[in-house]
Amino acid sequence: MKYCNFSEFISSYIDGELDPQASAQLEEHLKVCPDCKAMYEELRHIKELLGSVPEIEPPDLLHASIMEAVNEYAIRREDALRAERSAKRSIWLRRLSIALAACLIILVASPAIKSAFFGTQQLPADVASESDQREEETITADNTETEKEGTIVFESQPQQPQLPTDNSHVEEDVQPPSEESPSDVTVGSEDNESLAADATSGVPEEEEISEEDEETGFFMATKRMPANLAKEIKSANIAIEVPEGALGDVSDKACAMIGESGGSVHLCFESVYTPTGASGFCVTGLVPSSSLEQVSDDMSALGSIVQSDVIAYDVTAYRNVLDSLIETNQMQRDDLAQAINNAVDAQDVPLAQKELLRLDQLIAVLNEERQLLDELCDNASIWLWIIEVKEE
Amino acid sequence: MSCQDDRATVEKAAKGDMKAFEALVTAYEKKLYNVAYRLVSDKEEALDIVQDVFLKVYQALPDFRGDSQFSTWVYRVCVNTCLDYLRKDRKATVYSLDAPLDFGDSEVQRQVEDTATSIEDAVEFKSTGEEILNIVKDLDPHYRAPLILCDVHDYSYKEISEILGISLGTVKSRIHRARKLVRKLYGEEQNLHSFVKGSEKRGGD
Repeated sequence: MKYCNFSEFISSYIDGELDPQASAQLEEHLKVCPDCKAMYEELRHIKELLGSVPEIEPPDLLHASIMEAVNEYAIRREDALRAERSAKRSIWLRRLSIALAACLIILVASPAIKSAFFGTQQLPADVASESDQREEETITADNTETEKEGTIVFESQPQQPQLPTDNSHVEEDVQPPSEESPSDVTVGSEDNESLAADATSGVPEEEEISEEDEETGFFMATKRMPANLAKEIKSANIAIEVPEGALGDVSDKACAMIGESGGSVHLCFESVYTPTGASGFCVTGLVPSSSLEQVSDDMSALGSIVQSDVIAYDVTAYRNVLDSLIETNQMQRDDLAQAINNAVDAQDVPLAQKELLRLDQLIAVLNEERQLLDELCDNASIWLWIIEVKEE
Repeated sequence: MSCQDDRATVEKAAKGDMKAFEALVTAYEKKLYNVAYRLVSDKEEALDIVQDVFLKVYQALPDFRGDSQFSTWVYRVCVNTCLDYLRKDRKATVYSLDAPLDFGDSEVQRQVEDTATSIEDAVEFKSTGEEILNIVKDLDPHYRAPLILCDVHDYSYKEISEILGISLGTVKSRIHRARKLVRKLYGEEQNLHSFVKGSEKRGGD
Protein backbone atom coordinates (compact mmCIF):
# COMPACT_ATOMS: atom_id res chain seq x y z
CA MET A 1 0.00 0.00 0.00
CA LYS A 2 1.33 3.37 -0.94
CA TYR A 3 0.88 6.21 1.56
CA CYS A 4 0.90 9.81 0.68
CA ASN A 5 2.06 12.63 2.94
CA PHE A 6 -1.48 13.29 4.09
CA SER A 7 -1.74 9.92 5.81
CA GLU A 8 0.46 11.15 8.66
CA PHE A 9 -2.29 13.53 9.75
CA ILE A 10 -5.08 10.99 9.84
CA SER A 11 -4.79 10.08 13.51
CA SER A 12 -4.58 13.71 14.61
CA TYR A 13 -7.64 14.39 12.52
CA ILE A 14 -9.55 11.49 14.10
CA ASP A 15 -8.61 12.72 17.56
CA GLY A 16 -9.68 16.27 16.80
CA GLU A 17 -6.15 17.51 17.30
CA LEU A 18 -5.65 18.94 13.83
CA ASP A 19 -6.14 22.65 13.25
CA PRO A 20 -9.18 23.65 11.13
CA GLN A 21 -7.17 24.59 8.06
CA ALA A 22 -5.27 21.30 7.93
CA SER A 23 -8.49 19.43 8.69
CA ALA A 24 -10.20 21.03 5.72
CA GLN A 25 -7.27 20.11 3.47
CA LEU A 26 -7.29 16.52 4.67
CA GLU A 27 -11.06 16.23 4.16
CA GLU A 28 -10.57 17.34 0.56
CA HIS A 29 -7.79 14.82 0.17
CA LEU A 30 -9.83 11.94 1.59
CA LYS A 31 -12.38 12.49 -1.17
CA VAL A 32 -9.80 11.78 -3.85
CA CYS A 33 -7.40 9.28 -2.22
CA PRO A 34 -8.89 5.83 -1.64
CA ASP A 35 -5.82 4.59 0.29
CA CYS A 36 -6.01 7.40 2.80
CA LYS A 37 -9.77 7.04 2.95
CA ALA A 38 -9.40 3.34 3.77
CA MET A 39 -6.80 4.06 6.41
CA TYR A 40 -8.98 6.76 7.93
CA GLU A 41 -11.97 4.41 8.16
CA GLU A 42 -9.92 1.63 9.74
CA LEU A 43 -8.08 3.79 12.25
CA ARG A 44 -11.34 5.47 13.25
CA HIS A 45 -12.83 2.02 13.74
CA ILE A 46 -9.95 1.03 15.98
CA LYS A 47 -10.43 4.14 18.10
CA GLU A 48 -14.15 3.46 18.41
CA LEU A 49 -13.58 -0.14 19.39
CA LEU A 50 -11.01 0.79 22.02
CA GLY A 51 -13.32 3.51 23.34
CA SER A 52 -16.11 0.99 23.71
CA VAL A 53 -14.17 -1.26 26.07
CA PRO A 54 -15.83 -0.95 29.48
CA GLU A 55 -13.84 0.01 32.57
CA ILE A 56 -13.12 -2.94 34.79
CA GLU A 57 -13.93 -2.92 38.47
CA PRO A 58 -10.91 -3.07 40.75
CA PRO A 59 -10.92 -5.84 43.34
CA ASP A 60 -12.60 -4.93 46.65
CA LEU A 61 -9.37 -5.19 48.58
CA LEU A 62 -7.65 -2.49 46.51
CA HIS A 63 -8.77 0.45 48.64
CA ALA A 64 -7.96 -1.23 51.94
CA SER A 65 -4.56 -2.39 50.74
CA ILE A 66 -3.63 1.12 49.58
CA MET A 67 -4.63 2.70 52.88
CA GLU A 68 -2.86 0.01 54.85
CA ALA A 69 0.38 0.53 52.92
CA VAL A 70 0.16 4.31 53.31
CA ASN A 71 -0.61 4.17 57.03
CA GLU A 72 2.22 1.76 57.60
CA TYR A 73 4.55 4.09 55.76
CA ALA A 74 3.38 7.10 57.78
CA ILE A 75 4.16 5.28 61.03
CA ARG A 76 7.57 4.16 59.82
CA ARG A 77 8.43 7.66 58.69
CA GLU A 78 7.51 9.06 62.07
CA ASP A 79 9.88 6.56 63.72
CA ALA A 80 12.63 7.38 61.26
CA LEU A 81 12.25 11.10 61.88
CA ARG A 82 12.57 10.56 65.56
CA ALA A 83 15.72 8.49 65.08
CA GLU A 84 17.13 11.13 62.75
CA ARG A 85 16.54 13.87 65.27
CA SER A 86 18.46 12.03 67.92
CA ALA A 87 21.24 11.16 65.46
CA LYS A 88 21.49 14.81 64.52
CA ARG A 89 21.86 15.76 68.12
CA SER A 90 24.62 13.26 68.74
CA ILE A 91 26.56 14.38 65.67
CA TRP A 92 26.16 17.91 66.85
CA LEU A 93 27.48 17.01 70.28
CA ARG A 94 30.44 15.27 68.77
CA ARG A 95 31.25 18.22 66.60
CA LEU A 96 31.00 20.58 69.52
CA SER A 97 33.34 18.45 71.55
CA ILE A 98 35.93 18.62 68.79
CA ALA A 99 35.49 22.37 68.68
CA LEU A 100 35.79 22.58 72.43
CA ALA A 101 39.01 20.64 72.41
CA ALA A 102 40.47 22.89 69.74
CA CYS A 103 39.34 25.96 71.57
CA LEU A 104 40.85 24.80 74.79
CA ILE A 105 44.19 24.31 73.12
CA ILE A 106 44.09 27.77 71.66
CA LEU A 107 43.06 29.34 74.91
CA VAL A 108 45.80 27.59 76.79
CA ALA A 109 48.33 28.42 74.14
CA SER A 110 47.59 32.06 73.83
CA PRO A 111 46.90 34.06 76.94
CA ALA A 112 47.14 37.11 74.76
CA ILE A 113 43.94 36.19 72.95
CA LYS A 114 42.37 35.49 76.26
CA SER A 115 43.07 38.88 77.64
CA ALA A 116 42.23 40.67 74.43
CA PHE A 117 38.98 38.85 74.36
CA PHE A 118 37.85 39.11 77.90
CA GLY A 119 39.54 42.31 78.76
CA THR A 120 40.93 40.70 81.85
CA GLN A 121 42.56 37.55 82.99
CA GLN A 122 41.15 37.88 86.43
CA LEU A 123 38.22 35.70 85.87
CA PRO A 124 36.66 33.56 88.54
CA ALA A 125 38.26 30.22 88.89
CA ASP A 126 35.66 28.89 91.23
CA VAL A 127 32.83 28.37 88.77
CA ALA A 128 33.87 24.88 87.92
CA SER A 129 34.11 23.73 91.47
CA GLU A 130 30.59 24.75 92.23
CA SER A 131 29.07 21.73 90.67
CA ASP A 132 30.11 19.72 93.68
CA GLN A 133 28.11 21.78 96.06
CA ARG A 134 25.16 22.43 93.97
CA GLU A 135 22.59 21.53 96.55
CA GLU A 136 24.18 23.48 99.27
CA GLU A 137 23.25 26.95 100.04
CA THR A 138 26.32 29.04 99.81
CA ILE A 139 26.04 32.09 101.85
CA THR A 140 28.60 34.74 101.54
CA ALA A 141 29.69 37.18 104.14
CA ASP A 142 27.98 40.08 102.47
CA ASN A 143 24.95 38.31 101.36
CA THR A 144 22.96 36.73 104.10
CA GLU A 145 19.63 36.61 102.43
CA THR A 146 18.36 33.50 100.81
CA GLU A 147 16.97 33.72 97.33
CA LYS A 148 13.61 32.50 96.31
CA GLU A 149 13.35 29.02 95.00
CA GLY A 150 14.41 28.60 91.44
CA THR A 151 15.55 32.13 91.06
CA ILE A 152 18.93 32.72 89.67
CA VAL A 153 20.72 35.91 90.12
CA PHE A 154 23.47 37.26 88.03
CA GLU A 155 25.53 39.96 89.44
CA SER A 156 26.27 42.88 87.33
CA GLN A 157 28.45 44.79 89.72
CA PRO A 158 30.43 42.27 91.63
CA GLN A 159 32.82 44.78 93.09
CA GLN A 160 30.18 46.10 95.39
CA PRO A 161 28.76 44.34 98.36
CA GLN A 162 25.74 42.40 97.31
CA LEU A 163 22.13 42.65 98.24
CA PRO A 164 19.73 40.40 96.40
CA THR A 165 17.18 43.14 96.07
CA ASP A 166 19.71 45.42 94.52
CA ASN A 167 18.52 46.78 91.19
CA SER A 168 21.81 45.98 89.65
CA HIS A 169 20.98 42.30 89.84
CA VAL A 170 19.69 40.70 86.77
CA GLU A 171 17.10 38.26 87.87
CA GLU A 172 15.86 35.55 85.73
CA ASP A 173 13.56 32.62 86.31
CA VAL A 174 15.38 30.09 84.31
CA GLN A 175 13.62 27.06 85.64
CA PRO A 176 10.11 27.08 86.91
CA PRO A 177 10.20 26.61 90.65
CA SER A 178 10.09 22.96 91.47
CA GLU A 179 8.09 22.14 94.52
CA GLU A 180 10.08 19.12 95.51
CA SER A 181 13.47 20.61 94.97
CA PRO A 182 15.38 22.28 97.69
CA SER A 183 15.93 25.92 97.15
CA ASP A 184 18.52 26.62 94.58
CA VAL A 185 20.32 29.58 95.66
CA THR A 186 22.41 32.05 93.88
CA VAL A 187 24.96 33.87 95.70
CA GLY A 188 27.09 36.85 95.04
CA SER A 189 30.78 36.95 95.25
CA GLU A 190 32.61 38.05 98.28
CA ASP A 191 35.77 38.44 96.35
CA ASN A 192 36.09 42.10 95.77
CA GLU A 193 39.21 41.67 93.78
CA SER A 194 37.49 39.57 91.21
CA LEU A 195 35.83 41.39 88.37
CA ALA A 196 33.31 38.70 88.05
CA ALA A 197 31.21 37.00 90.59
CA ASP A 198 29.93 33.51 91.02
CA ALA A 199 26.61 32.72 89.71
CA THR A 200 25.58 29.54 91.27
CA SER A 201 23.33 26.70 90.56
CA GLY A 202 20.94 25.89 87.83
CA VAL A 203 19.22 22.66 87.20
CA PRO A 204 17.78 20.96 90.24
CA GLU A 205 19.29 17.53 90.29
CA GLU A 206 16.08 15.57 90.49
CA GLU A 207 14.56 17.35 87.59
CA GLU A 208 14.57 15.29 84.48
CA ILE A 209 15.00 17.20 81.34
CA SER A 210 13.09 16.09 78.35
CA GLU A 211 14.41 16.38 74.82
CA GLU A 212 12.52 19.58 74.24
CA ASP A 213 13.84 21.09 77.41
CA GLU A 214 17.33 20.34 76.31
CA GLU A 215 16.76 22.10 73.06
CA THR A 216 15.26 25.22 74.51
CA GLY A 217 17.54 25.16 77.50
CA PHE A 218 20.31 25.64 75.09
CA PHE A 219 19.33 29.08 74.12
CA MET A 220 18.27 30.19 77.52
CA ALA A 221 20.07 32.89 79.29
CA THR A 222 23.14 31.69 80.97
CA LYS A 223 22.87 30.34 84.42
CA ARG A 224 26.47 30.18 85.40
CA MET A 225 28.07 33.09 83.74
CA PRO A 226 30.73 35.33 85.05
CA ALA A 227 28.53 38.12 86.22
CA ASN A 228 30.02 40.93 84.23
CA LEU A 229 29.11 39.09 81.07
CA ALA A 230 25.87 37.55 82.11
CA LYS A 231 23.66 40.57 81.75
CA GLU A 232 24.67 41.05 78.17
CA ILE A 233 24.12 37.54 76.98
CA LYS A 234 21.80 37.25 74.10
CA SER A 235 21.09 34.38 71.87
CA ALA A 236 20.85 34.94 68.19
CA ASN A 237 19.33 32.68 65.64
CA ILE A 238 19.69 34.19 62.25
CA ALA A 239 19.02 32.60 58.93
CA ILE A 240 21.53 33.49 56.30
CA GLU A 241 21.78 32.20 52.79
CA VAL A 242 24.93 31.29 50.98
CA PRO A 243 25.22 31.33 47.20
CA GLU A 244 26.22 28.00 45.77
CA GLY A 245 29.96 27.65 45.32
CA ALA A 246 30.59 30.57 47.63
CA LEU A 247 30.85 28.65 50.87
CA GLY A 248 34.57 29.33 51.26
CA ASP A 249 34.12 33.01 50.59
CA VAL A 250 31.25 33.34 53.03
CA SER A 251 33.00 31.44 55.78
CA ASP A 252 36.09 33.63 55.26
CA LYS A 253 33.95 36.70 55.71
CA ALA A 254 32.31 35.20 58.76
CA CYS A 255 35.74 34.59 60.27
CA ALA A 256 36.80 38.13 59.47
CA MET A 257 33.70 39.52 61.17
CA ILE A 258 34.36 37.55 64.30
CA GLY A 259 37.94 38.81 64.22
CA GLU A 260 36.86 42.42 63.81
CA SER A 261 34.54 42.15 66.76
CA GLY A 262 37.51 41.39 68.97
CA GLY A 263 36.62 37.72 69.09
CA SER A 264 38.59 34.77 67.86
CA VAL A 265 37.76 31.97 65.47
CA HIS A 266 38.56 28.52 66.70
CA LEU A 267 37.30 26.19 64.09
CA CYS A 268 36.12 26.65 60.60
CA PHE A 269 34.67 23.81 58.56
CA GLU A 270 33.70 24.28 55.01
CA SER A 271 31.59 21.24 54.81
CA VAL A 272 29.28 19.93 57.41
CA TYR A 273 27.70 16.56 57.10
CA THR A 274 24.41 15.78 58.66
CA PRO A 275 22.22 12.71 58.37
CA THR A 276 20.09 14.57 55.85
CA GLY A 277 23.07 15.13 53.58
CA ALA A 278 23.33 18.83 54.23
CA SER A 279 26.58 20.46 53.38
CA GLY A 280 27.85 23.89 54.07
CA PHE A 281 30.10 25.67 56.46
CA CYS A 282 30.44 26.07 60.13
CA VAL A 283 32.48 28.48 62.13
CA THR A 284 32.98 28.34 65.84
CA GLY A 285 34.53 31.09 67.72
CA LEU A 286 34.35 33.20 70.77
CA VAL A 287 32.80 36.63 70.55
CA PRO A 288 32.78 39.19 73.32
CA SER A 289 29.24 39.46 74.51
CA SER A 290 29.30 43.19 73.92
CA SER A 291 29.80 42.69 70.20
CA LEU A 292 27.55 39.69 69.77
CA GLU A 293 24.70 41.77 68.46
CA GLN A 294 26.93 43.50 65.95
CA VAL A 295 28.33 40.17 64.76
CA SER A 296 24.85 38.74 64.47
CA ASP A 297 23.76 41.67 62.32
CA ASP A 298 26.83 41.42 60.14
CA MET A 299 26.31 37.70 59.68
CA SER A 300 22.75 38.10 58.53
CA ALA A 301 23.92 40.54 55.88
CA LEU A 302 26.18 37.91 54.32
CA GLY A 303 24.43 36.48 51.32
CA SER A 304 21.59 34.44 49.81
CA ILE A 305 20.29 31.13 48.24
CA VAL A 306 21.22 28.45 50.74
CA GLN A 307 19.71 28.80 54.17
CA SER A 308 22.01 28.86 57.13
CA ASP A 309 21.46 29.32 60.78
CA VAL A 310 23.67 31.37 62.96
CA ILE A 311 23.21 30.33 66.50
CA ALA A 312 24.91 32.01 69.33
CA TYR A 313 24.83 30.60 72.79
CA ASP A 314 26.97 30.27 75.77
CA VAL A 315 29.03 27.38 77.00
CA THR A 316 27.55 27.50 80.48
CA ALA A 317 24.10 26.64 79.22
CA TYR A 318 25.71 23.83 77.35
CA ARG A 319 27.21 22.60 80.57
CA ASN A 320 23.77 22.38 82.08
CA VAL A 321 22.60 20.39 79.11
CA LEU A 322 25.54 18.07 79.52
CA ASP A 323 24.75 17.64 83.20
CA SER A 324 21.23 16.63 82.46
CA LEU A 325 22.36 14.30 79.68
CA ILE A 326 24.81 12.63 82.01
CA GLU A 327 22.15 12.32 84.65
CA THR A 328 19.52 10.83 82.36
CA ASN A 329 21.96 8.39 80.83
CA GLN A 330 23.26 7.44 84.25
CA MET A 331 19.73 6.74 85.42
CA GLN A 332 19.07 4.69 82.35
CA ARG A 333 22.29 2.81 82.94
CA ASP A 334 21.40 2.07 86.55
CA ASP A 335 17.94 0.88 85.60
CA LEU A 336 19.45 -1.39 82.99
CA ALA A 337 22.03 -2.77 85.40
CA GLN A 338 19.28 -3.58 87.84
CA ALA A 339 17.22 -5.18 85.11
CA ILE A 340 20.16 -7.39 84.20
CA ASN A 341 20.48 -8.53 87.81
CA ASN A 342 16.80 -9.38 87.97
CA ALA A 343 16.59 -10.84 84.50
CA VAL A 344 14.26 -13.81 84.22
CA ASP A 345 15.06 -14.70 80.68
CA ALA A 346 18.80 -15.27 80.23
CA GLN A 347 18.41 -14.73 76.51
CA ASP A 348 17.91 -11.01 76.99
CA VAL A 349 21.07 -10.52 79.01
CA PRO A 350 23.73 -10.32 76.25
CA LEU A 351 21.80 -7.65 74.41
CA ALA A 352 21.23 -5.68 77.58
CA GLN A 353 24.91 -5.92 78.47
CA LYS A 354 25.82 -4.57 75.08
CA GLU A 355 23.53 -1.65 75.66
CA LEU A 356 25.04 -1.19 79.11
CA LEU A 357 28.48 -0.98 77.57
CA ARG A 358 27.27 1.58 75.07
CA LEU A 359 25.77 3.69 77.83
CA ASP A 360 28.97 3.48 79.86
CA GLN A 361 30.97 4.69 76.91
CA LEU A 362 28.53 7.49 76.24
CA ILE A 363 28.62 8.60 79.86
CA ALA A 364 32.41 8.55 79.77
CA VAL A 365 32.46 10.72 76.66
CA LEU A 366 29.98 13.13 78.18
CA ASN A 367 31.98 13.37 81.39
CA GLU A 368 35.13 14.03 79.44
CA GLU A 369 33.42 16.80 77.58
CA ARG A 370 32.01 18.13 80.81
CA GLN A 371 35.54 18.38 82.21
CA LEU A 372 36.72 20.27 79.18
CA LEU A 373 33.83 22.61 79.60
CA ASP A 374 34.57 23.18 83.25
CA GLU A 375 37.95 24.46 82.33
CA LEU A 376 36.53 26.59 79.57
CA CYS A 377 33.62 27.97 81.49
CA ASP A 378 35.86 30.11 83.57
CA ASN A 379 36.78 32.06 80.55
CA ALA A 380 34.49 31.69 77.61
CA SER A 381 31.57 33.95 77.14
CA ILE A 382 29.85 32.86 74.00
CA TRP A 383 30.25 30.41 71.26
CA LEU A 384 29.25 31.47 67.90
CA TRP A 385 28.20 28.50 65.93
CA ILE A 386 27.23 28.79 62.36
CA ILE A 387 25.79 25.84 60.64
CA GLU A 388 24.26 25.56 57.29
CA VAL A 389 21.04 23.61 57.40
CA LYS A 390 20.22 23.18 53.76
CA GLU A 391 18.55 19.87 53.06
CA GLU A 392 19.35 18.17 49.80
CA MET B 1 -13.83 15.04 41.72
CA SER B 2 -13.54 18.46 40.12
CA CYS B 3 -10.34 20.46 39.81
CA GLN B 4 -11.42 22.82 42.56
CA ASP B 5 -12.26 20.01 44.97
CA ASP B 6 -9.01 18.39 44.00
CA ARG B 7 -6.91 21.39 44.92
CA ALA B 8 -8.46 21.83 48.36
CA THR B 9 -8.27 18.12 49.10
CA VAL B 10 -4.71 17.89 47.81
CA GLU B 11 -3.64 20.77 50.05
CA LYS B 12 -5.21 19.14 53.07
CA ALA B 13 -3.67 15.78 52.24
CA ALA B 14 -0.26 17.40 51.77
CA LYS B 15 -0.49 18.68 55.32
CA GLY B 16 -0.95 15.13 56.54
CA ASP B 17 -4.74 14.93 56.65
CA MET B 18 -5.30 11.20 56.19
CA LYS B 19 -9.03 11.63 55.51
CA ALA B 20 -8.30 14.00 52.65
CA PHE B 21 -5.73 11.57 51.29
CA GLU B 22 -8.25 8.76 51.45
CA ALA B 23 -10.68 10.91 49.46
CA LEU B 24 -8.04 11.21 46.76
CA VAL B 25 -7.55 7.46 46.81
CA THR B 26 -11.28 6.95 46.41
CA ALA B 27 -11.39 9.43 43.54
CA TYR B 28 -8.52 7.95 41.56
CA GLU B 29 -8.08 4.29 42.45
CA LYS B 30 -10.44 2.92 39.83
CA LYS B 31 -9.09 5.06 36.99
CA LEU B 32 -5.51 4.25 37.88
CA TYR B 33 -6.30 0.57 38.25
CA ASN B 34 -7.72 0.56 34.74
CA VAL B 35 -4.73 2.39 33.30
CA ALA B 36 -2.36 0.00 35.04
CA TYR B 37 -4.31 -3.04 33.98
CA ARG B 38 -4.41 -1.94 30.35
CA LEU B 39 -0.67 -1.28 30.43
CA VAL B 40 0.58 -4.39 32.20
CA SER B 41 -2.30 -6.78 31.31
CA ASP B 42 -2.18 -8.45 34.69
CA LYS B 43 -4.76 -7.85 37.40
CA GLU B 44 -2.50 -8.84 40.28
CA GLU B 45 0.28 -6.61 39.05
CA ALA B 46 -2.13 -3.76 38.43
CA LEU B 47 -3.21 -3.98 42.06
CA ASP B 48 0.38 -3.87 43.31
CA ILE B 49 1.19 -1.00 40.98
CA VAL B 50 -1.75 1.14 42.09
CA GLN B 51 -0.84 0.54 45.73
CA ASP B 52 2.72 1.55 44.94
CA VAL B 53 1.53 4.64 43.06
CA PHE B 54 -0.44 5.91 46.04
CA LEU B 55 2.48 5.27 48.33
CA LYS B 56 4.71 7.34 46.04
CA VAL B 57 2.07 10.04 45.84
CA TYR B 58 1.76 10.12 49.61
CA GLN B 59 5.52 10.46 50.03
CA ALA B 60 5.87 13.19 47.43
CA LEU B 61 2.68 15.08 48.21
CA PRO B 62 4.27 17.61 50.59
CA ASP B 63 6.58 18.60 47.70
CA PHE B 64 3.81 18.73 45.11
CA ARG B 65 3.82 22.34 43.97
CA GLY B 66 0.73 22.31 41.84
CA ASP B 67 2.62 23.30 38.68
CA SER B 68 0.65 20.64 36.88
CA GLN B 69 -2.80 19.32 37.64
CA PHE B 70 -2.91 16.80 40.44
CA SER B 71 -4.63 14.29 38.15
CA THR B 72 -1.91 14.66 35.50
CA TRP B 73 0.74 14.14 38.11
CA VAL B 74 -0.95 11.04 39.52
CA TYR B 75 -1.33 9.54 36.05
CA ARG B 76 2.30 10.25 35.32
CA VAL B 77 3.38 8.47 38.49
CA CYS B 78 1.13 5.58 37.51
CA VAL B 79 2.36 5.27 33.92
CA ASN B 80 5.99 5.53 35.01
CA THR B 81 5.45 2.86 37.63
CA CYS B 82 3.92 0.62 34.96
CA LEU B 83 6.81 1.27 32.57
CA ASP B 84 9.26 0.46 35.36
CA TYR B 85 7.43 -2.75 35.99
CA LEU B 86 7.45 -3.66 32.32
CA ARG B 87 11.15 -2.90 32.07
CA LYS B 88 11.90 -5.23 34.94
CA ASP B 89 9.58 -7.89 33.66
CA ARG B 90 11.49 -10.35 31.49
CA LYS B 91 8.49 -10.93 29.31
CA ALA B 92 8.61 -7.32 28.27
CA THR B 93 11.82 -7.90 26.31
CA VAL B 94 9.61 -9.35 23.60
CA TYR B 95 8.58 -5.79 22.78
CA SER B 96 11.94 -4.17 23.01
CA LEU B 97 12.81 -4.84 19.37
CA ASP B 98 9.88 -2.71 18.46
CA ALA B 99 10.88 0.19 20.69
CA PRO B 100 11.23 3.47 18.86
CA LEU B 101 14.60 5.18 18.63
CA ASP B 102 13.79 8.58 19.99
CA PHE B 103 15.58 11.60 18.56
CA GLY B 104 13.72 14.30 20.39
CA ASP B 105 10.72 15.16 18.29
CA SER B 106 11.27 12.77 15.45
CA GLU B 107 11.40 9.05 15.84
CA VAL B 108 12.95 6.36 13.78
CA GLN B 109 11.28 3.01 13.75
CA ARG B 110 13.42 -0.07 13.64
CA GLN B 111 12.43 -2.26 10.78
CA VAL B 112 11.41 -5.59 12.21
CA GLU B 113 9.01 -8.28 11.34
CA ASP B 114 5.80 -8.01 13.27
CA THR B 115 5.36 -10.88 15.67
CA ALA B 116 2.00 -12.51 15.18
CA THR B 117 0.05 -13.76 18.17
CA SER B 118 -0.34 -17.50 18.54
CA ILE B 119 -3.10 -19.35 16.76
CA GLU B 120 -4.74 -20.29 20.07
CA ASP B 121 -4.98 -16.62 21.05
CA ALA B 122 -6.28 -15.69 17.66
CA VAL B 123 -9.24 -18.02 17.81
CA GLU B 124 -10.23 -17.12 21.38
CA PHE B 125 -11.27 -13.54 20.82
CA LYS B 126 -14.55 -12.74 22.47
CA SER B 127 -15.48 -9.34 21.11
CA THR B 128 -13.98 -6.96 18.63
CA GLY B 129 -13.05 -4.41 21.31
CA GLU B 130 -11.19 -6.97 23.34
CA GLU B 131 -9.72 -8.35 20.16
CA ILE B 132 -8.17 -4.97 19.50
CA LEU B 133 -7.03 -4.66 23.12
CA ASN B 134 -5.34 -8.00 22.83
CA ILE B 135 -3.32 -6.62 19.96
CA VAL B 136 -2.63 -3.39 21.80
CA LYS B 137 -1.21 -5.28 24.75
CA ASP B 138 1.47 -6.73 22.47
CA LEU B 139 2.63 -3.30 21.37
CA ASP B 140 5.72 -1.75 22.82
CA PRO B 141 4.73 0.17 25.99
CA HIS B 142 5.94 3.40 24.41
CA TYR B 143 3.16 3.07 21.84
CA ARG B 144 0.69 1.32 24.08
CA ALA B 145 0.66 4.01 26.78
CA PRO B 146 -0.29 6.98 24.57
CA LEU B 147 -2.81 4.93 22.62
CA ILE B 148 -4.55 3.72 25.76
CA LEU B 149 -4.56 7.16 27.34
CA CYS B 150 -6.01 8.58 24.14
CA ASP B 151 -8.53 5.97 23.06
CA VAL B 152 -9.52 4.25 26.30
CA HIS B 153 -9.17 7.17 28.72
CA ASP B 154 -9.96 9.99 26.34
CA TYR B 155 -7.02 12.23 27.17
CA SER B 156 -5.98 15.05 24.85
CA TYR B 157 -2.54 15.04 23.20
CA LYS B 158 -1.45 17.84 25.49
CA GLU B 159 -2.45 15.94 28.61
CA ILE B 160 -0.76 12.82 27.31
CA SER B 161 2.42 14.74 26.61
CA GLU B 162 2.39 15.99 30.22
CA ILE B 163 1.63 12.57 31.67
CA LEU B 164 4.29 10.80 29.63
CA GLY B 165 6.78 13.64 29.67
CA ILE B 166 7.21 13.61 25.89
CA SER B 167 6.67 16.33 23.30
CA LEU B 168 3.36 16.92 21.52
CA GLY B 169 4.96 15.87 18.23
CA THR B 170 6.07 12.59 19.76
CA VAL B 171 2.59 11.94 21.14
CA LYS B 172 1.12 12.59 17.71
CA SER B 173 3.52 10.30 15.87
CA ARG B 174 3.34 7.52 18.46
CA ILE B 175 -0.44 7.40 18.46
CA HIS B 176 -0.54 7.34 14.68
CA ARG B 177 2.16 4.71 14.55
CA ALA B 178 0.37 2.65 17.22
CA ARG B 179 -2.90 2.68 15.30
CA LYS B 180 -1.15 1.68 12.10
CA LEU B 181 0.53 -1.21 13.92
CA VAL B 182 -2.77 -2.35 15.38
CA ARG B 183 -4.35 -2.12 11.96
CA LYS B 184 -1.57 -4.17 10.41
CA LEU B 185 -1.57 -6.81 13.16
CA TYR B 186 -5.35 -6.98 13.12
CA GLY B 187 -5.33 -7.54 9.39
CA GLU B 188 -2.76 -10.31 9.75
CA GLU B 189 -4.80 -11.95 12.47
CA GLN B 190 -7.91 -11.86 10.35
CA ASN B 191 -5.95 -13.59 7.61
CA LEU B 192 -4.53 -16.08 10.07
CA HIS B 193 -7.96 -16.67 11.52
CA SER B 194 -9.50 -17.47 8.17
CA PHE B 195 -6.42 -19.52 7.32
CA VAL B 196 -6.92 -21.62 10.49
CA LYS B 197 -10.62 -21.97 9.84
CA GLY B 198 -9.89 -22.86 6.25
CA SER B 199 -7.32 -25.50 7.14
CA GLU B 200 -9.72 -27.00 9.69
CA LYS B 201 -12.28 -27.28 6.94
CA ARG B 202 -9.79 -28.80 4.60
CA GLY B 203 -8.66 -31.18 7.34
CA GLY B 204 -12.27 -32.25 7.85
CA ASP B 205 -12.78 -33.04 4.21
